[in-house]
Amino acid sequence: MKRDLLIVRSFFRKYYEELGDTIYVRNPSEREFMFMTFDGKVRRHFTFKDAKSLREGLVREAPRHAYYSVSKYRDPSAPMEEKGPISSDLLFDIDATELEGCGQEDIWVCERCGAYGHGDKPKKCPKCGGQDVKLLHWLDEKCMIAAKNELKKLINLLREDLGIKEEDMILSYTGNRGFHLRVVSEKYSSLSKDARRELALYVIGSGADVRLWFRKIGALYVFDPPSGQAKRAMQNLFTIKASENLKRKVSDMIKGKPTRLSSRELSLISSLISKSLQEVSPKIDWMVTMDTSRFTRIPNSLHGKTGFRALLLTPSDIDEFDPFRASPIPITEEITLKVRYPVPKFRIHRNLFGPYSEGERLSLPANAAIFLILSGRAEIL
Amino acid sequence: MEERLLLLLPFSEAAKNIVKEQGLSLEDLAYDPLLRDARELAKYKLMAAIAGRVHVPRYENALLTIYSYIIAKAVAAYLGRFVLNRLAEHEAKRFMIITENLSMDDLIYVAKEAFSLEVRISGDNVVVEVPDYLEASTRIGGAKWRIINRKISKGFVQLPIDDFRRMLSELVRARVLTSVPEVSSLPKPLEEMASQISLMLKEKVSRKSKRGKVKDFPPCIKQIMEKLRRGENLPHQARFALTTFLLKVGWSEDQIVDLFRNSPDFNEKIARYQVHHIASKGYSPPKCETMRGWGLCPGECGRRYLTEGLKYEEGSPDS
Repeated sequence: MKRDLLIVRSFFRKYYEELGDTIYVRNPSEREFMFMTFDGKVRRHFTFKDAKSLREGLVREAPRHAYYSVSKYRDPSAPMEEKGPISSDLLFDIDATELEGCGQEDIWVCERCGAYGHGDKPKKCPKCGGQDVKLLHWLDEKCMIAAKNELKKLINLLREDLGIKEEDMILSYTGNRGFHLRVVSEKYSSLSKDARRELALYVIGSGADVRLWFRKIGALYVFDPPSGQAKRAMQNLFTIKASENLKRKVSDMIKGKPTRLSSRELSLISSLISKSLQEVSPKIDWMVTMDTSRFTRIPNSLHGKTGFRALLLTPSDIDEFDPFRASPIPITEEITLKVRYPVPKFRIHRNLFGPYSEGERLSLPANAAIFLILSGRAEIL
Repeated sequence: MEERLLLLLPFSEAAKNIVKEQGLSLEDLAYDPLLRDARELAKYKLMAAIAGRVHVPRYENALLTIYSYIIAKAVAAYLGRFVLNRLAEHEAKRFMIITENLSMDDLIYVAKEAFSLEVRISGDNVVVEVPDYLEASTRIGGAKWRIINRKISKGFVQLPIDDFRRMLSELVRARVLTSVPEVSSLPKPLEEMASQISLMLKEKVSRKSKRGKVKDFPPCIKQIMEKLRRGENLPHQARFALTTFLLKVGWSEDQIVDLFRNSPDFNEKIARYQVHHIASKGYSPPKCETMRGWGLCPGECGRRYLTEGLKYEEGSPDS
C-alpha cells in the first residue's frame, strides 16, 4: 500500500475509534456487508451480529469504503444463490457526475509523464503517448446544489405519485457527489426486480406515449395528463420557447380548455411535452433501482475518495445541507503536502483553501489534506 | 366460495382446501376411475396450450376444474419449463374468456380472495395499489400499461374494468408459474399423458428450421432469444427488436417466423405478416437507449452505450 494511503487509513481508523458510536445499522445480522480496503481489495459475503461488532470491525479494518446490502437475507454470509433474500429496500441513486454542467473542474492526468488537462479524457496521453490516463473528479459545490434539486424532485414524486410517506424514506449523502434514497415500506420492499425496473423507468420519464395524454372532443383536443409525471411535464410547458400562437394554445390547454390543433401543432406540442418531461424527471440511475443485490454506504462511515462522512438526512435538511460544512472528517491536525495537479478553490467548514498550483508545498488541516490526497491532487511530503 | 367463482380459480386457497378435505394424492388423480373426466380435461388443456389455443369445455364443475388443473400442472412440471409456460399462458387466456361477463363486484371478490389485492371502485374504474399493479403490468407490452400513461396518484392506479381483468390474468399466469411441484416421476397413466404431449411438442418443434450461431449477438438479443426458447410471452418491443436485428444480420423472414413458433401466443399468419411488414419497411434495430427505455437491456455489455447503436456481426446466421 502506498505510504499516503497508509497514513490516510490511520486517520480513518482514528475516526472510527473516536466517533464510531455514531455508526448504526438496524438488524445488521440480516444484511451482507462489503468493505473495500485501501489496497484495492473487495471483501464481501460477511455480516455482523450487532452494531457493536460492526463498529469494532470498522476500527479493525479501517476500510476505504464500507457498505451494506439493500437486501435482508436469512443467511447474509452465504454465497449469493444461497443467501435467501427476505426483502429489499427500494434504492434510488442520484449522482451529480451525470448532471449537466458538472465536472468542469475534472481533469485527466497521465500517470506516466504527469501531463494533465481539462475536457474529455483522451485515449492516450497527447504528450508522451502513454496509455495510463485517468480522470480525476472534483467535488464541485455547484454540482451538489444540482444534485440536491434532483433529490427534492424525487422525494416529491415518491410522495405525491406513489403515496410513499416521508417516514418510510431514508435519505443519505454518499460522502462524494451523490445521494441515496431508500424506501423501506413493506409493500415496496417486496417488489420484484421487474416491477422495480418498471418503477424506475417511470421516475426517469421513460415509456411515455404523449398521445394518450390528450382526449379528443370532436375536432378539439383536451389535455388530460394521467400521472403525476405527465402533469408536471405539462405544467413545465409554461417555460417553453415557441411561437406566440402556439404558446397561447398551450396555455389554453394547460387551463383545460378544449383547443383546436392542426396535426402539425399536435406533433409539435407532443415533442415539447416529451422534452419537458425529461426536465422535470428526477435524474436517477435506474439500473441501481432495479438491482436488489446492490449496496449502500453505512451511515456515518467515511467515503474513500473524499474522506467525507456518509450522513443521514431528512427531507427538511436538504436545503440547508452543506456537505463541505457537515461532512469532512472531523480531524484537524496539520499535514504537509505537495500539490501534484492544480487544485481549484475549495472550502472545508468555513475555511477557504486554494487555488493551488502544481508543485506547491503547503501545510493543511487533516480534513482538507485528506480531501486533496484522496482526490488524487496532492501527496504527503 | 361460490362454485361459479371456484371455477375461475383452481389455484386459490379455497380450491387447495377442498383438495385437502378430499385427501386425494396424485396417485388417486392418476388411477381413480371416477376422475377420468378430470384427466381428459387436463389432457385437452395441455394439448390446447401446446397448440396455442384455449380449451373451455361446455360444462365444468368446480371439482373437475380443480382436479384437471392439478393434473395438468403436475404433468407440465414433469415436462419442464417450456410446457409450464404454455400452460400458464393457457390459464391466463382462459381466465380472460370466462370472466368476460363477470360483474365488477365478482371480479373484486376474485382479486381479494385469490390474490389478496386491496381494491376499491371509483366510478367506472377499479383502484389498485401501485406495487400490485407493477407486478402484473411489467409483463404486459404496450404504452397504456406503463404507469406514466395511467391515472396514478398517491400510490393508487385507476383502471378501466377490462384492463383490471387483463391485470388479473397476468397474476393468473404468474400463479401457475409459482410453487411448481418437483415432479421427477409420474404415475403410469399420467406418464402416458406426458408422452403424448411431449410427442405433440416434438412434432411442432421439428417444423422449426435450423438456427444459426448466436454467440456474437449482444446480450439483449441473446436474452430475448433465450426467453423465446423457454416459451415466455414477449412484449411487442422485444419482438420488434429481435426481428429488426435478425433481418439486419441476414436471417430470412422464414427463419425468423420459425423462431417465433416458440411463442405461447404464436399465430403463423400474424407472425408472418408482421415480420414481412418490418422487413419491407426496412426498420433499423433500436438504439441501446431505446432498448433500455423498453426495459430490454440487461446491462451486461460493459459499454456506456446511450448513443451507440446495437453492434452486430454482419453475415448470415448459418455462416
